[in-house]
Amino acid sequence: MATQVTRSLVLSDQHALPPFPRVVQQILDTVEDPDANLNVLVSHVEHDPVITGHVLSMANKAASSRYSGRAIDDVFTAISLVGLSRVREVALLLSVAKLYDGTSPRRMHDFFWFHSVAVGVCGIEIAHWTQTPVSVDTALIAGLLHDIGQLWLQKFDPQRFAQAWEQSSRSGEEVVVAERALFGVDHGEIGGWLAASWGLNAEIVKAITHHHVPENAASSVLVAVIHIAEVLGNALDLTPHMPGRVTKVAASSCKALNITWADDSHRLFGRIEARSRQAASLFAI
Amino acid sequence: MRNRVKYIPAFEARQGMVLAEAACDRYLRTVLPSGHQLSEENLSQLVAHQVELVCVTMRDVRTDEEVALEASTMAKQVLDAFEKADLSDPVTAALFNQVLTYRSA
Repeated sequence: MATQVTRSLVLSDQHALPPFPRVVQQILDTVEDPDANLNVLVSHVEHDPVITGHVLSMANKAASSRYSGRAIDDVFTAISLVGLSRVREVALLLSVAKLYDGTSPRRMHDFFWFHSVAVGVCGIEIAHWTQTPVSVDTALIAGLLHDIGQLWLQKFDPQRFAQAWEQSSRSGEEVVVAERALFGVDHGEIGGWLAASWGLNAEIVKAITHHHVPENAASSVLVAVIHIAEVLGNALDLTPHMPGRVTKVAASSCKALNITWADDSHRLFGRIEARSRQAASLFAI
Repeated sequence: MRNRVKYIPAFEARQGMVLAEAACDRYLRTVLPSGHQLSEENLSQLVAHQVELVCVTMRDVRTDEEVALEASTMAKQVLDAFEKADLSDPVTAALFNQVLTYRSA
């Protein structure tokens, strides 16, 4: 009989994934303190050549219409031009991207990453649109990590993981049903265990754990945001080559966020698509 | 001549585009009003105020045939995305209808 996945197995086999980037926790810890935020950001940006390169590139693109001929080559000027919140977003995106490095085959990596970015982007816009008390950084991180349990399962037992997807595809049921049958647990629960072990806050842990069954955590606004973010990411087809992924949108989540899917939804959809293009441009620099 | 209203990242905004909604910063403060035609200087203003997204009115240069073809392709994409969805559920059906209308516009 195949090994059943337990919390202790997941936590003892965390090396299946790259180490969790500490900057994510640092940024989340200082989200309410703009001065500390700036120090953490400048320090991290300066110590990470990939993030430095992106931030300087964004700043120079932004500056090209303002300061002709003068290249921006220091991080302080770059951050003041691009904006603290945007740089924080970029630092979070690029840091979490490292967790997905080494995932194979390549199409699996692309699927996980594009889908996670899509859900993060949708989470930001849903939080804005519904004016919920959820910070942009929290929505982004919860969205980026919501399927981290699938990444763990895929690395732990690629064949059984593929079998779960095939079963789900054949039956039309959500993949969590097949995962529970094959592993004894679903990717939400595994992701929650990992997120808790990384010290992420309880709301993010809940959002990752319950994003497929938001009714189990109806009092959490972030769970509702991430559940609807995933549905919209799929409905708007933001993850290429994965049709047929919308199964249901939980009425309890719509109610929690006061969403009725009336005509003004088009504004939300339009903003999500534009923000997706903005995020995609980050990885095309 | 038809027009289309579209959200775009601020870095895609160009001189001559007309704002269909006020351009706002992250704190929802208005930077430029709705109906304003963007000048070169306005593009700098968007950067300076760290505006991320703008909603613009664009001239729709597509022919009727192209519009119909694109709407039909988009509708197929929506049907594929909702292929396994339970459309007897009123909330899911409402979302489906909105996505379909949005894609067909």
